[in-house]
Amino acid sequence: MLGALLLALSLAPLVALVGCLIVRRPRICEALNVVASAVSFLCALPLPFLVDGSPSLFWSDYIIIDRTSAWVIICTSIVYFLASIYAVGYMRMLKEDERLFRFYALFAGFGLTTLAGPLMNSVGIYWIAIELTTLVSTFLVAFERVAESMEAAWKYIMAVSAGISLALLGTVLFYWCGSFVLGPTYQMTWAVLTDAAPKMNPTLFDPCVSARARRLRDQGRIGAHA
Amino acid sequence: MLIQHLGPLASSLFSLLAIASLLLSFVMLGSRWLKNYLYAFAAESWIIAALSAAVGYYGNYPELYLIAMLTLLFRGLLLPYLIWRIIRRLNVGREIHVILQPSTSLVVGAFFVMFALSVSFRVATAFQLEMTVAVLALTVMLSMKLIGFLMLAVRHEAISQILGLLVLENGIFLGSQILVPGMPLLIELVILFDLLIIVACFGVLVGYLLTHVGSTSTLDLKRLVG
Repeated sequence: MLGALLLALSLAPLVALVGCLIVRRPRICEALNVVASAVSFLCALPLPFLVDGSPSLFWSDYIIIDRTSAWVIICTSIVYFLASIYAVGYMRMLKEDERLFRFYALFAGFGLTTLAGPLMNSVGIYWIAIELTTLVSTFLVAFERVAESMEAAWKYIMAVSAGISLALLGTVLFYWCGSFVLGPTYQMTWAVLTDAAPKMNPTLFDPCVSARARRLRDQGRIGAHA
Repeated sequence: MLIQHLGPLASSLFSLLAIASLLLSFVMLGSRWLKNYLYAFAAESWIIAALSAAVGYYGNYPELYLIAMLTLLFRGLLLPYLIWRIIRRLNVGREIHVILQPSTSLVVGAFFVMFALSVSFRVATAFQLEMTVAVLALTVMLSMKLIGFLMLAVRHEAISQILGLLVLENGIFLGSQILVPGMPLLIELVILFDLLIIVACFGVLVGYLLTHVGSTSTLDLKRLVG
């Protein structure tokens, strides 16, 4: 049940993305996008009630869902749904019908990457998903061909790329810290990091990970998915 | 862990290559000519490729040879070529308006390196690695990060900002080669791939900036300010 919902949640924007690229008719693309976002929204709604205390894994452990990611996905899908309803009227106002299929394809791609990001079990792939949202959304910001949106896109990609490079630095440092416990090569998943966190040297990130892991261990939750 | 039992020859080779790439980022800071930035970046990428090969040889990681070749191909040849084409098409030679003179930025960069050294020394001491090449790897990683941010902040040509971002990424890449050579291959491949996409985006954006704003200096981007 949970697996089917997650599959539908991420397949709907993917179908809309491919459909927009194939069909290219503006009104059909609009409809595809609204339907896809509605499907994602409906699939996301029951998620927090289906996920219990321990995270569930799918597709040979590439996909993870826990309570936090369920709530993040609900928030994302609400925004995606409302924005795609609003986009219909707004984009008709711009009178860009011949390029409109690109906008909706990018829009569905943005929905797909933002919904898929919180589901990734590997920290590296999670980073890649966030990076993909950046790349897709830059072209969304630059869609209107006026100076203001070019300026906005430039500033956006500068700020976001600098931010994502910091996230990459953090990923490398976390992996380095874990390699003292787990050896030079290991699969960097959230569960592996959480289990190794109490044994890691706390110098690099005492305030965040180690403290949280100790607290979780004290509450006896780590044993549940160890 | 590779860095804990590394021969004196290998340590000195790694140190030499890391220091050389740090020096090349100072070349970028001390110049005003976009061509110089580009040559320094290309040379830095070749050095990082050599470092990957050296780490692969001494640490027995055959997959690092592949990464070295990809680095050489993408960052050493393809990216500089793409940026060179943008520079030629835009017909910009150098930074015209400077907030911080090149000499001043060199001094600020030197302070950044000192700060990075003191942070890295503390971190390495906590891991009992203070006599190894890890101190140098962390220092170069953090100081190239800071120098990249400095370039983003004080340079105005779009090309300089792109190269600033690439310096940020190069720093992380260099550090991760020495600190976590066993990190799964996937991530490195994707970093290379992402960089390529990013520059393709930048090529598009620079073209747009030129046609719609009329200049590539980000100083002219002042319609959207808070």
